Amino acid sequence: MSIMTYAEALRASMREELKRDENVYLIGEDIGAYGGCYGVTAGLVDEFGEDRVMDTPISELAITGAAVGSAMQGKRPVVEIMYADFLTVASDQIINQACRMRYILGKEVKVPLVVRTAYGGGGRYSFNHSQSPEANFMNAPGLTIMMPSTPADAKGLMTAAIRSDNPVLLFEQKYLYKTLKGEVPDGEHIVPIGKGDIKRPGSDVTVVATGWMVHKALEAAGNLEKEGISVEVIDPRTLKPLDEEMILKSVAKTGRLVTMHEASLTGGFGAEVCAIVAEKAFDCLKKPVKRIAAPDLIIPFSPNLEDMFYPGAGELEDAVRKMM
Amino acid sequence: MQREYSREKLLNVYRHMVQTRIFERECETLNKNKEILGSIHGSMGEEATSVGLAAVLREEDVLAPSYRDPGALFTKGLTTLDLVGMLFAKDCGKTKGRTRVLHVGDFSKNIYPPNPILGASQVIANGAALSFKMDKTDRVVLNIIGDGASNEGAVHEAMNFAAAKELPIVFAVENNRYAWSTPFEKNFKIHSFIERAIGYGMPGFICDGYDVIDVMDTVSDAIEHVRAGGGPALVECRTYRWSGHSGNDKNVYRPGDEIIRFRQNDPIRRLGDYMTAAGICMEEELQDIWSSVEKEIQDAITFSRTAPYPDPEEFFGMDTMMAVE
Repeated sequence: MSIMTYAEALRASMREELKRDENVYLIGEDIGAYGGCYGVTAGLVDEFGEDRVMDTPISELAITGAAVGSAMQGKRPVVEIMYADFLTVASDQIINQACRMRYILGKEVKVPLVVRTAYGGGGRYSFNHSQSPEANFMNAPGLTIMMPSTPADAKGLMTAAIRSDNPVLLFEQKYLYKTLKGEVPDGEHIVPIGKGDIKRPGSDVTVVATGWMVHKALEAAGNLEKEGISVEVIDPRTLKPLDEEMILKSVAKTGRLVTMHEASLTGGFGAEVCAIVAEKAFDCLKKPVKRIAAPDLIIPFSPNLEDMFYPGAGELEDAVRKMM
Repeated sequence: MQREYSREKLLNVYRHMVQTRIFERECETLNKNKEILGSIHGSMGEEATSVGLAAVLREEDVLAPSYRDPGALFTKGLTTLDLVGMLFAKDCGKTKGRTRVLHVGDFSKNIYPPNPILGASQVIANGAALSFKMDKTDRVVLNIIGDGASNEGAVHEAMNFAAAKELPIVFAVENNRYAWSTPFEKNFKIHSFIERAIGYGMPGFICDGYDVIDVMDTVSDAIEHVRAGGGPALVECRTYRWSGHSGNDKNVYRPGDEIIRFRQNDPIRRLGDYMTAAGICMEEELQDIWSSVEKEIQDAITFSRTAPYPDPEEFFGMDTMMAVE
């Protein structure tokens, strides 16, 4: 085990995979000598050269398209889209192209593509540099979506993503890059796709949270424990495919479900989780489900507004108390 | 540069142009009779361009055609039944009823799928070229773009990206003068795509898209430049589409007798006249090609009419990563 930041853990995975497989390459804006907008790829160009840590023009469509076309030829590109907000520009390639190639061309074609991107708040950047657009991609058949919350998961999911033969969209929480440190297994570490993680076991309420919100949920769970309320915090890690079994099993035990994410409420990932539970475990529910999310508003700039905009531990605590 | 082509090569090119012409004629009839589903996107009149561009590729080169390129698809190895079966959405079509013709590709024949989302094909084609460059092979990519599609933002990104990364790719613009119904003059302030090539820092070539020999000569020049490691190149083929953009286009937006004028310049007749006048082949040989292709296409239509639709179990049993047989 080593202690690493979230960003260092992501880099450790990419570095190991670049060493292990010569088909792996990184491509994106300012990822070479500059090391990426958040320094996640810092130093890798010195070790692997410009052909494998490739700077590009500011052209998200061309970058992602080149990655798709080269993945079909057996390369394993890892694309950096600087901010998740910019995914809309590249989304035709992700939704309409990368995920359709096997359907059109058949089994012998693989699209081992990773698109990694910095999402979420905490940076004081306001909208277009702070959004969490994961739900925009939930409805794209054939796409794997990941959202690590810890350095260990960041490394394990990145490795799983690079080794997957199918397109993966990996959301990296930008506030956690440098602020979050944790233990990370040395050497090869893979988090299986579609496998969630119980970050804290509990018996009264199930909280399904993603990314940064996992930490808010853990904070709330710690506070509620003092009041005698036992909260189970589930981090699905891969949003799609989703570890339904883990969530359903937990709800069967607790009878209460709260979802929590940074993205806006309507049509969010939480809605999908609630729908699955309502469909498959309705009889287990003691109370109506609750979604905690950002409001359906544009992300503001002022720090007082931003702090109120994103869900916090207090909001979750209140919701849980009302359920008991 | 003028090049020599073998008799066999020219007869093959002629055959693929005839195959394309009759295929398109049948598409129109079947569409009019409502025998086939979806829509069609005819390329009649553009046979010399579509076939000529693909005719000079090596087997290992990648073709990334536009959605109006059955000529290029046949030339790179798709069969009549591959496409006719797709018109009928039957299991005998290339993608077994999963897609329309405008999505067809074949990885084993190095054909990347065309793309109805215009501009998408260009950025993906770059990726194949990027991998060829990384692997230090001399394989090249030929990407075909309509003049209409060339105004997509993705095409701008693709051309600049290809130039900046010195990718082994030829962008061939089939300039058929109309973006659906809008004439070239209304969509462009340039006179030739060579102006755009210069803007991206790549050499530009231009040819008569109704003269298949000129198309082959010109795209060969471009490919030579690219294969030698000179980075991308652009070829403009001046061509003309006789039909509407799609099956439900009444094709009434062309001035005067413009279509009649271009029909008199039939690219297939031009190649045939050249071959017989130059003593490369006899008129009878060309007639034989027409009748044997006609039979092949009619057989494919007859077969497809009664062929089964795809098996629903196969479709709905597909895994979520779309890995299909």
